Amino acid sequence: MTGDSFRHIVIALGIVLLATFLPAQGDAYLQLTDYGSSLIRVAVLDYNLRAESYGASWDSTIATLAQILRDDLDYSPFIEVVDTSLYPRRRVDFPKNIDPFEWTRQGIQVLVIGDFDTDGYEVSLKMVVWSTTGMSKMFKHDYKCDAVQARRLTHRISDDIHKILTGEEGVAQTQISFVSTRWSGKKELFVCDYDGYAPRRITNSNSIVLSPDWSPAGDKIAYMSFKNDNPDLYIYDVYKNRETLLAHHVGQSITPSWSPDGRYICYSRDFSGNSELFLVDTRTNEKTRLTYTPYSIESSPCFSPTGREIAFTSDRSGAPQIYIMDAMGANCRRLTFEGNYNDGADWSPRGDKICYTSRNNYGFDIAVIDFAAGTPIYLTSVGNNENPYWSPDGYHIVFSSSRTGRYQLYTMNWDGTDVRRITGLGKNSSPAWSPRYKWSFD
Amino acid sequence: MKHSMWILLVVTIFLSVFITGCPKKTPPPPPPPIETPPEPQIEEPVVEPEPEPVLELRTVFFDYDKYNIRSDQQARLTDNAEQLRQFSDVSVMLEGHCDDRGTNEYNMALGAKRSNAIRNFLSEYGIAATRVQTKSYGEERPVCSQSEESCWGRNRRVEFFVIE
Repeated sequence: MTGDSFRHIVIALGIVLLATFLPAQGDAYLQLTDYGSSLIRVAVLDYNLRAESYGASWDSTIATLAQILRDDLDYSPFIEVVDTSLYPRRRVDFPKNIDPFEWTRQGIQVLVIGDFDTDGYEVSLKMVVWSTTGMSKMFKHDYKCDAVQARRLTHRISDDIHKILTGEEGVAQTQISFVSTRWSGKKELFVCDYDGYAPRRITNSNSIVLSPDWSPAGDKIAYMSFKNDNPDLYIYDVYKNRETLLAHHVGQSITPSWSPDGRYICYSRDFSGNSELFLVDTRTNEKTRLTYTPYSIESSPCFSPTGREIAFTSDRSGAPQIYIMDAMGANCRRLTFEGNYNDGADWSPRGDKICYTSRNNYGFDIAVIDFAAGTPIYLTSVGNNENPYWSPDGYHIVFSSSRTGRYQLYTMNWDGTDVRRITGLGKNSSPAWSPRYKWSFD
Repeated sequence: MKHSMWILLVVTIFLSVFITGCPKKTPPPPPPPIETPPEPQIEEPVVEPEPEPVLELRTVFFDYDKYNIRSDQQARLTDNAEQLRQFSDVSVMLEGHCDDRGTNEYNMALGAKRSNAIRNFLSEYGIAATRVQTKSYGEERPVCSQSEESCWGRNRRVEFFVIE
């Protein structure tokens, strides 16, 4: 009897020991989702109104603004905005009537309280961020803007709060440029907010536009256009609202990529019957040839964040694969070995990963290679997924997907979770994420 | 004895099948589906021998992800080249296209490579490179949009256009 129970104990111990050691083998997996366990739980309360009511239309606008702030904050992989149904109170009369235990009981660590006021033309929001655990004020700022900019102002507020909570600026003020066939049926360049709102058309080429890329300062977009009946490169100046020709050659110039210092653009040019990589100095328009491979395609370059290296696509092995070389063309080595079609590399802002489009048995999917791990991880599986592009904080990826039929743009976290669709009209492709912006409202 | 004869016969047949079957090289990763796409142009019926020959350049088709000239396309390409040799004052624009699989960007490069492959062929045939221009439309100008091989095959093409 005692021997039996002893054996049971030994077996149970063995299982416990095994259970404790097993997870250690899945390091890569644990690392991928490590932020999942330490989300900051935030409550964004409905705004307090200075007046009794501003009329029915304003009241719904005010509710929408609070919801935008929730969506913005929730977009962060470090923050979880707690569902409003779990709030002990819809509104809190700041600074009276705050009972911290009401909130900590729901696991809510941070309270975002806003006082709203408007005269019909201007909107003012006095924002306060409280930590419920210490019941201390973490942040206080008064915002003011034109009523039509209230949405943008909310993005700004979100980024400021994100910075207070995580130590890092959020991406709510960023924008995404992309190519869309909406409205005209032709592929034109568009720009929208990071969440897909406020799309606006940039080009009127009445032809085909492809491959936009933002300058590191966010003031220009380089892209390819058939505007003059030949695939040439153009630069659009966001502030001057002006388009200039960057590169025109006999034969095509495609896939521009800015260097991190904003001075050079690397691109693929059809040079005497073969695609080669070139570098153009945007100040002097001086061009330098980087690759000398007369029998293979070289295209889709992308600078590393340091500017010292360039990732690009080449079919020198017989099929398109991604290679990395020094920025002046030397020391070339192959990065991808899985699959027989890998293209469209985008280097993460921290420099530790490269995401790209990869063909597997199911079609085209977004893959990412972490240099520390070396092997690709597929982030998508439904439909065809192409053209990945990192957000400036490196926590999100925007890409185009045919999962619902026509190609649309989606964003996801860098581990493939939290997929959100951001376009719906026409066919949308070739997204590029802007660097961080800080909008001013003065 | 009879048994061993039979066995010998079976072994010989098996070996011969095996040996003839063996040298078939497995093609590179995606076995390119070889099939002749329908010809977009219809030959006009010959009514009577015209005094002036008509320049009729036909579209050349390619395999998936490939830019080498397919063996079944050699004849029509040679025919195109011969016509261009006769019409020595004519210049052409070669427009390279791809099917819609793959990225838009790589397909631009692939289309360019296809049109350049045709230009190289023409150049070897004796057509001056100055008479031949190339352009790629990638996957942006399809002739059909179904997701099936019959349509993809028609889109992987280089079209000839006469320019003055």
